[in-house]
Amino acid sequence: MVVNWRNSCLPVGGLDLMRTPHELMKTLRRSILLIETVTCFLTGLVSGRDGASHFDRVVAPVLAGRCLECHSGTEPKGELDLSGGKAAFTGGESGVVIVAGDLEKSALWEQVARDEMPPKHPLPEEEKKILREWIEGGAVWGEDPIDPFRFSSGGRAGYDWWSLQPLVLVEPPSIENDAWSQNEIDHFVLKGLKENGWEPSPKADPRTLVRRLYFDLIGLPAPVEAINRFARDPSEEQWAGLVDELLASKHYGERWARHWMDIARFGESGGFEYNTPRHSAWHYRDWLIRSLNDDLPYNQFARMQLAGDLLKPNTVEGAAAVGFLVAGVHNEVFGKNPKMKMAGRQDELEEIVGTVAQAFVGMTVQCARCHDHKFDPISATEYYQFAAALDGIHHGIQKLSRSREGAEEKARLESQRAALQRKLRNSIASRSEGRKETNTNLIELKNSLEANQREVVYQLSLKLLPTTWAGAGQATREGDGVVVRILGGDGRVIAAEVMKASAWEGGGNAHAFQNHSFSWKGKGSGPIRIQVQSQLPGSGRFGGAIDDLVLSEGETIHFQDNFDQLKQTQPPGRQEDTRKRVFHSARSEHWSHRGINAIHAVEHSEGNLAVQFFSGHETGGSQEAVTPEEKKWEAGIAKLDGEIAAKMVTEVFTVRSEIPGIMRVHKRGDVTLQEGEVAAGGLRALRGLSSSFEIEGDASDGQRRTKLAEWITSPDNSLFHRVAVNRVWHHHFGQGIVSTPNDFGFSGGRPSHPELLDWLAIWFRDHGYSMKKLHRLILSSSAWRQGSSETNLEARKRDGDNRFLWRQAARRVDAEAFRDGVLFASGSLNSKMYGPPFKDVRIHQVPPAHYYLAIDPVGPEFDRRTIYRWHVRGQRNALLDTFDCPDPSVSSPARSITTTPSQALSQWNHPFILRMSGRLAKRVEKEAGAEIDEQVKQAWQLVLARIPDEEELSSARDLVGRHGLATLARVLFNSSESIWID
Amino acid sequence: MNYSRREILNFATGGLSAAALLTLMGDGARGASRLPDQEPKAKRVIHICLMGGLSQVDSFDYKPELQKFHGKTMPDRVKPDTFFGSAGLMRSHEWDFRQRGESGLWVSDLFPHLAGVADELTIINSMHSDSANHTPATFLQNSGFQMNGFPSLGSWLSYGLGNDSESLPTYLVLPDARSLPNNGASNWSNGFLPAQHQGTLLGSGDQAVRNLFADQKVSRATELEARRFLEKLNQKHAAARPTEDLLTARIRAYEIAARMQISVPEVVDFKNEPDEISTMYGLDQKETADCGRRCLLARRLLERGVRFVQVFSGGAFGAQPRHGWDGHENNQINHAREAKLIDQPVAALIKDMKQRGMLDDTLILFTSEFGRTSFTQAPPGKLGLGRDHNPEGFTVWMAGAGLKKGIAYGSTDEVGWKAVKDPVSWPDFHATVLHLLGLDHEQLTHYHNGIERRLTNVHGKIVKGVLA
Repeated sequence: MVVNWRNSCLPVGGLDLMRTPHELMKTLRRSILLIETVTCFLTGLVSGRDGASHFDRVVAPVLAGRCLECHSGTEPKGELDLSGGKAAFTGGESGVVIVAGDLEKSALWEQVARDEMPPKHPLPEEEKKILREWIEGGAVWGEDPIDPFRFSSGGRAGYDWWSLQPLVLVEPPSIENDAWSQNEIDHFVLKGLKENGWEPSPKADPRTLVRRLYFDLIGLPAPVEAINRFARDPSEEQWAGLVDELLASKHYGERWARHWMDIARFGESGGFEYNTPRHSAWHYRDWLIRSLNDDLPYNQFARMQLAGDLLKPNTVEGAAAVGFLVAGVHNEVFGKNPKMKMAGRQDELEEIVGTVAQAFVGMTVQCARCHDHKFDPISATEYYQFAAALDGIHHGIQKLSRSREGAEEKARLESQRAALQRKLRNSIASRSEGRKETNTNLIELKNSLEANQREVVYQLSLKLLPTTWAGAGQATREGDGVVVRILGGDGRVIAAEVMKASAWEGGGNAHAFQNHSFSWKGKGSGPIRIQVQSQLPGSGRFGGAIDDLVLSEGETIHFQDNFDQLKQTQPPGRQEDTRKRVFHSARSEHWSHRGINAIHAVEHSEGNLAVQFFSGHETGGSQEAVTPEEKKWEAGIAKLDGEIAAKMVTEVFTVRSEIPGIMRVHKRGDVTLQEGEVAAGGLRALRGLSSSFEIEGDASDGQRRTKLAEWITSPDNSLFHRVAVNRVWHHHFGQGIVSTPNDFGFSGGRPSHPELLDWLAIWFRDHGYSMKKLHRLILSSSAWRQGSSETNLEARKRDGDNRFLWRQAARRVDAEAFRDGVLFASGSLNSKMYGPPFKDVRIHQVPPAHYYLAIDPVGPEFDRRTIYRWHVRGQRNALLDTFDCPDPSVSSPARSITTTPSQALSQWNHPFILRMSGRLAKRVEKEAGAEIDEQVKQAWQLVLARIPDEEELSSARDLVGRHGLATLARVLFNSSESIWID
Repeated sequence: MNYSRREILNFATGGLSAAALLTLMGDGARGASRLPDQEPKAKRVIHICLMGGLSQVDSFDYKPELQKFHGKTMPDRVKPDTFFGSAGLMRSHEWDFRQRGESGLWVSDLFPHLAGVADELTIINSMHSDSANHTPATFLQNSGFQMNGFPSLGSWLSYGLGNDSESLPTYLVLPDARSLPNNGASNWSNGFLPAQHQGTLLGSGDQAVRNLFADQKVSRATELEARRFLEKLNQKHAAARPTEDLLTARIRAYEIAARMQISVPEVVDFKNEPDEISTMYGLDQKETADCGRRCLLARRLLERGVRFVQVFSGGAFGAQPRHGWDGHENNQINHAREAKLIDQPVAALIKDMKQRGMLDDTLILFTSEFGRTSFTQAPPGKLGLGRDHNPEGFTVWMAGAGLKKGIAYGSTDEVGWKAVKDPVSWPDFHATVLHLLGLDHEQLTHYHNGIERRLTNVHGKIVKGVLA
């Protein structure tokens, strides 16, 4: 594989600031295409294999990028299909369009030359030349049909795109007389600088370094004592010690969790019309803080967010981690129109797919929902495979036990309860009706099958219909389901499989079942019997419905029934909600029907029936405990219920896992145009990693998500590693090595230091995915410790964006660091961690919609760090909002930084700032005494971490004398210096 | 440097350097005006936004056939997907239609005042939308997308054209006094555009803009001296970092903020408006006072250089009684009440803008997120009183610069259900608005998460038939 580095590096020798990046890239690509073309033609005649490879590399990308959108597929425009050699040479409705070696007879060329094709967007000269020379040179075709994804072109990325290739370890370059470099990072950076003839900027002074370090690692102002301590001994040892101290601080997790919450588009209300509050979504935030503070390896960090509920089932920890998946907006209003419901579900999935793919692999997979990705080699089919992997996810609330012990205890109690329940039910059933549980409400195959041979694996599959029921009283509930039993000739059960309905939601409809199959190894010999029964007979509910039951042994099918021959003894009724026809008390020729509860036939599509199990109230017999023993069991159950409830004290807004349906490709993203089935899978574009999950289309949510998590975090997934280190880098340098942390595709940025990016990615993988180690590495580099002043005028002129890192980036603090810093300086910061958020909004309800009105409550609870604020959508805290804290609607990999009059108004007049100014004044009076000079100095140190100079001191003295200390505090909180990190 | 703001923002894809480059161009605090792609016809916009769904067949889309179908089942080919899933019998329009003015445009008696300015209207009878669901449909109307997180029309205009005012934000939002639209600020969100392009809520009274003044008493002398001291500190800090343009922009932002403390109270104070203007806008009547105040305020804002003003008619969906045009229960009662609130003020706005010559370079938009069904919301076979959501065909109108006046463009079928002739989608509508403002909807882009985003996504055809 030839790696496409065409666009992967910055042009050395300066950037052309007069051009947009797109123009710049176009120029680059043109020149490279030109070089390739020229080289090719200089080497002589083009024919045979050379011609084919030239076609694949040079010509096919032009055709794919410019022509195939219209001239391919089932209905190519003008009946001209240019995607394959044969069709292309056959031509379209106006005849032959390509005549090898003859430009004048080639209508394709004619139209291209006259700028008629492609319509509205004539080809650039370079591409015209490619086509002209190709036809002139004999029009040799290569790969047939053209794989539009194979090679990158001027308009899109192919499989050879730089970010999709395996990681390559490049030894850090060594530079002669290098007294600057502290570690490998510096070698790479210095090489880039030297190639431009530049030197790094001088090291920043101790105050700047310590302020910057505090901001980067914990997001709080550096105390003047810490600065002074380091200034006295600015040695490497002291520096390393300070870095370690801050990495060990509990505030580290609070700082970096906030970065991750931006990526996770974390919000604490659903958005859209209802904007329903999420009172228990904060568990995810706490999980992030804990995990980061514990330095949970990044691959586990990712796996937990994708499948924590499966990896650590029934734990708050697991449920909290997957809060990531459902942290986004969620529309709860679909109307009653089934098409709108389906489209709504697909919108939900797109939201989740987009976030997962951008967050972990930096690919905008969601762009391929309606058509193949316009810029990256991701097909619409792959979009639906990716979506299939996440299709078991729904937004919901789980009640869980806070501790692992609690979870285990809960499971133990539940099994005790189930045992008592079974005893009680059997006892009641046998007493009142003379039947055992296994005897009622079932169908059994009339004739046994002579299929059971020794040690042979049988497969039994049956389709369980996705059905919805009306009225909660009749619906499936948790614990309901259908049991399939295989019995030996002696009546002994040799295999049993329980198929559960998916979760029932009060007020909604239970989407009951889907395709299901299971295998067992047959043992013994003789006839076998099949029983299907609804669980919880006599409960007055539907157990479920089944269709298409198949028993097979390898290729041999022993038995099959689709139940379409069910005899209908009564006129049809109608299921209220689904409007489906139901025939009560149906009968079958193949099956005997036991128990007195009704077995119905439901017509789920025209002429297609399924058996439906229903256990009516009246037929289940008395459910009451009568005998002393039964009453004892009943009391035991009630007691256990109480104990279990007590264990499940914690509500967590998290994933509600449901049995996913079969995913189909939706043509043009339209729910009414569903095509072939797809199984869950990854992206083919990633080299060195199989995209197949090797699971079936009907795999469970657990199988799908576990596989997805494995695929994403595979050591061979180069994007996973590149994207991760780039995010950390982004926050330490103000921009990533790739400046678009969520997009490593064609539309994203190109790496400024591609070799460094790979080196870091491999280093990270080899060092156990430890984020703290990665921070330490970066923070010990000379590159990070450079000053930020723009003394290098030449570099500023040619690389104003500082892509080559000729200086450190000066930064304005973000909204959270601003608010937290003010709290800290005024002595008000309440460092209470974790738990329910503080709410600086008032909920106003216009049922069922919610509005959130910003308020300014006062009290220690509201002086916690901003990360503990309730982050609802559609309400904007003036102070945070104007400091570019995003409304969490989509994943936000980098904050924008704006300066507006509204920001100035908020910073100057917001009641919080005025209140904190008063507190700072009180604190200073207490700490510095009555001397105004001392007060000014103390205020300066608390807010700006330095002593005022003479001029500042004298003006401030005047201000305090006439207008009070609080006025000075307000000014300092508004000063550029307080929100600026050099 | 002669490249546009947009190009710079594209180049820098957000972040510090974008802001810095902006400030390099002279004015980071407000964003320098971008040169339009072509000669603009309009310079500013008032968008009157009807929440809930205006019934086209009761207002601007005259369907005489509908009278014949009253109380009957729908014609066979009309098999609609309704939002609430029950399609009752057809219902005729509730108000008489008449031809108005010299143009002879059909406008019903629901809007007697607007009927009086029919010759100024450019009606589009063939709108259609992709959603029958309020919030996604409202997002579609405002941002072209069904999800949160995309910049609204006003934000795109602010981004594309910058601000002509030295002392007021570019994009102001005047909500209905009864309630805010669902999802509040998401409706006037800047999405992924820089925060300066978001809509600013403008209320009334002293704190018409949030944090305009401190809510505790600060003496004038303290205020002035503190600001002077702050400016001195910030100047000194900036001087030591001459290339950090954001720092200069901050100083300027404080200056403009101070100016807003004068300009905002001035613009919301109508004491200098003559009595006949107040009367014309209906400020003296209970029903029309709220909308009248906001229409007059919209005019005053435009006079002071504001680019885009959004006036909401209606707020929360689902409120009881309803705050808006969502006539599910009884469309006649609902629409009569809502129309009374806005008819006179909106008509006054048009007359007033015209008499001042402002209509020549201003665009007034009058839209709702979808229309209503010509059949009733009732069980099959029943004639109900309410009408359901109808995204298949509905009516909006525009007035002002660059438009053919007194025309009705496109049409729905004979019962006013589905757009059949010259259908217009929201992206088409947006492309046309941008065009009138001199912007090419395919060129006005901003890079975000992998895509050069546009207001019109990958769609949008300029509706040439409405252009003068």
